[in-house]
Amino acid sequence: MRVLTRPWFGLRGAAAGRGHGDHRLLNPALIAGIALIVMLVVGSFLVPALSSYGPRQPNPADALQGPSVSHLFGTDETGFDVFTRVWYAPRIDLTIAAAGVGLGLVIGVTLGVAAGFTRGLVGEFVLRIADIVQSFPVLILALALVALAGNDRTNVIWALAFVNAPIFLRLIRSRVLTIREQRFIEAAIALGNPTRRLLRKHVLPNALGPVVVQFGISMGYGIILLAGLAFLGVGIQVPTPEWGSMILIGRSNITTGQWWTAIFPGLFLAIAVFAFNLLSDGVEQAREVSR
Amino acid sequence: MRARRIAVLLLRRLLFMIPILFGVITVTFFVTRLAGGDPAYLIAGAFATPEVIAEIQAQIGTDKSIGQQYVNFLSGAVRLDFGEAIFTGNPVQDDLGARLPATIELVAFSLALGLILGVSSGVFAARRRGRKSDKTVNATSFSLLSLPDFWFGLILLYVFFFKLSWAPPPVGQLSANDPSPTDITGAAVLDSIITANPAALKAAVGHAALPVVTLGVLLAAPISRLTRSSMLEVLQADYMQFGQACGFPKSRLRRYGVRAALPPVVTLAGIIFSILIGGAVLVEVIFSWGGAAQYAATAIIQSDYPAIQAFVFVAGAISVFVFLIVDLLYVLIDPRVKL
Amino acid sequence: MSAPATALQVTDLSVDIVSRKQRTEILRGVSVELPEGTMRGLVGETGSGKTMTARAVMGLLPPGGTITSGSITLGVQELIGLDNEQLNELRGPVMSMVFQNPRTALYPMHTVERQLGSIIEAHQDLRKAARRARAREYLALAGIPDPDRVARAYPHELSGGMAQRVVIAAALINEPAILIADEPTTGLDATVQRQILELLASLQSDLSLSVLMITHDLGIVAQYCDSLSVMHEGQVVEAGEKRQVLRQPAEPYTQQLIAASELSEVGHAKQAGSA
Repeated sequence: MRVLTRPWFGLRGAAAGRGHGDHRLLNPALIAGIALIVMLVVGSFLVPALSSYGPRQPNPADALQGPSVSHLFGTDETGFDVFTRVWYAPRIDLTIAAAGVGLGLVIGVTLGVAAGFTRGLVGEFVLRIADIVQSFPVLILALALVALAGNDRTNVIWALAFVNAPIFLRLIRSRVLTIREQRFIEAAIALGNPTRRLLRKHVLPNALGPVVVQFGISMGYGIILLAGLAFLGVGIQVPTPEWGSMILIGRSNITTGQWWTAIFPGLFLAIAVFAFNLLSDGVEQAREVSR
Repeated sequence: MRARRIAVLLLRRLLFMIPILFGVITVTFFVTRLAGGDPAYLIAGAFATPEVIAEIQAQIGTDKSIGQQYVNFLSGAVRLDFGEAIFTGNPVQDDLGARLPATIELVAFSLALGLILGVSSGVFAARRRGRKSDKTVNATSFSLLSLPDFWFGLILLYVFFFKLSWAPPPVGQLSANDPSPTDITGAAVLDSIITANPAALKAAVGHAALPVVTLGVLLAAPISRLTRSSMLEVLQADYMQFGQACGFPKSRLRRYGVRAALPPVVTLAGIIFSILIGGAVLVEVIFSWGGAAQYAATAIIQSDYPAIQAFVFVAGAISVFVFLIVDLLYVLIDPRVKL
Repeated sequence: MSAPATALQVTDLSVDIVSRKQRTEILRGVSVELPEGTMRGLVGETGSGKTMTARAVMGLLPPGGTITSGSITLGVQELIGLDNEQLNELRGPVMSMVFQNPRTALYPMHTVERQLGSIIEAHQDLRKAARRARAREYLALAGIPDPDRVARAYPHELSGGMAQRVVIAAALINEPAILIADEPTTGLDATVQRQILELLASLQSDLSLSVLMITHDLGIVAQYCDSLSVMHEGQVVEAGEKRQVLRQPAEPYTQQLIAASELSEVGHAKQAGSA
């Protein structure tokens, strides 16, 4: 059974069964996804700059205030302004997720190309390792890695890379194998065409679409993952203006009625994930159109 | 004939499990051991004296060579002996054994709810392809895919515990003053049923409701989407047309369709189950569920090395077994699978 | 000699496919008459509307397919306007259809026996044992040498020809008077094609079925059919007795079809012989 694509199942083939109505490459999902991501990125610089509160500036006198004109999203128990922090957070969440997933992509693609082109034991071995790594629950693997390697951002990035690399590895390897099967490639190999040229001309252009789609899905899940780690106090630590750790701060307030401390960070977290899911879905749709 | 082939397949798969489990043990060891330095330093903390560190090293075995440590871990894992948890002082396998049923209960109920919601909404959407109701289901499931479970759980907690007071406080499987069943498995609902204790059952179901809804609703999203696309394929299949041409009543056609669309959903359910054994961590923490996943989370925060190692292995091993079961189930429900 | 009664009469049938954006005419005033106990060929190239005509008769138009005018009668029964339940009473015991691709027409999840049982159950009140016996009887009737083994097999375990025999058995098991065969041999090997056609022809005469044979192969028509209708772009361009149409096609399109088929040589030879 080879369907170990993990919790981001269901997104794949989101475009399946859609009508033939849309023939534009730029579809609404793609536009909305990009717009939301741009909004988060721009906002993360604009809002803290314009805000009268700093993202790391406690104000105990104003602790646990509900949403008001001066504190749009209220304040948490140390008097942090939730609005400023929630907008600042993409700088941390998106950067770490992008670094981790990006690193996983590079490692996965490299190994995938290697595993695809070297038939025989080495490729098989790499694949088996990827298999076994993928049979562990992602969250637990990432948690254990960060907890044991030490609570810092670099280790979160490595953990994200580690859980994502096998996914990209599989994806690229299957592309390479498909392409290898084709006649003209066999001929090219027989004629002594260098592998690098084959890669550049045939494998990578073909694999780009699926890799981008997977990147979007992995980004969405990566953001949830790192926020989840932070929520457990692993990786990013508490006063950091990061969504997961903000939810951790707000967690105890939920049962006493101060909903805003956890709800707003979570809402932004969900929006960010949604944006990358949209992006991924949009690219998938565009690929279907261009085919 | 087919039954015999299935038996052969099962045997072959069980044999094949040996190298896979060996791989799981190996990956567990190297991931947990090589991720950082010597976990003894982590456990001891920043201000520990060399004597304390040496003591811890001796306790968790990191004073030996890596090769020796690997052999020790391997032989321990084969006997399901993972040493003593640093925090509780109990053998880790006992700790996990006592808490695993609660996690499995949570995961099983959530998956059941997810399947009910997901399959029915997916079939519904596929039958109404392109109409408004299809689009609504589609948009809902797509949005649900983006919700972090721990945040969704907190929202439910706020609404149903704080605002409406329908749900009990998030204090675990039972509150202190609830009638509790005799502890047999450690899973409260199951224990209440086994001991025929209706008062405890009521309390246990009440406590399970929010965590199960949290996970179940979110799980319904991917299940619904997969069911829909699988069902769309089936609805266009020739055999559905042929069934109609043979004068099958609607009800039978519907059953035919759902039955044929189900095999991929079973695979997904298996994957979800295995992911959730570890993935339930956050929801367990929010509701203080006290299962194996929450135990692991605590172990991770306290750098309880033997406990972390054991849980990573157990989670990996469970998924391997679940995949085996799913493969066999698939063979049983889809006659087209080659044996 | 009195003219035989008509088993199936399609008169002036027009069908549109309506989607949100557009309305496409699929059939324009199609009339086809199938006299009782005969085999009529419905000939045309892909997209000419022959399959759509068959589907309209069976009440199996694809989503968006709407009948805009015309009538379809079985004997005296008008089919247009019947609801699904009423059509279900007719599908099977009165009219039935054999599909193009036998491998996808059979339900993959059930054994042959079980699906034949379900098909019987939809129309006849028989006990399980009787259904099993009847299933085997019809498998044998469809020329399957070892009905017992095939009955216990799953569709994907059967060869294409065997699967088509099962489909034929399934279509006939409720004793219809009319059988629509939609390119029943297109996906099969040449030798198997011949066997299936021979089977259909012999069943047609043994059970005195009225068969509408949909095909693009004029050779099949020449060999097995009594009459034919030629379809082109959603219309019937020519219809009549086989001999007459094949020998003296009135329409240029029919002439083209004949010229393009292997028949042309045979036809010329025959013409020359009879002249």
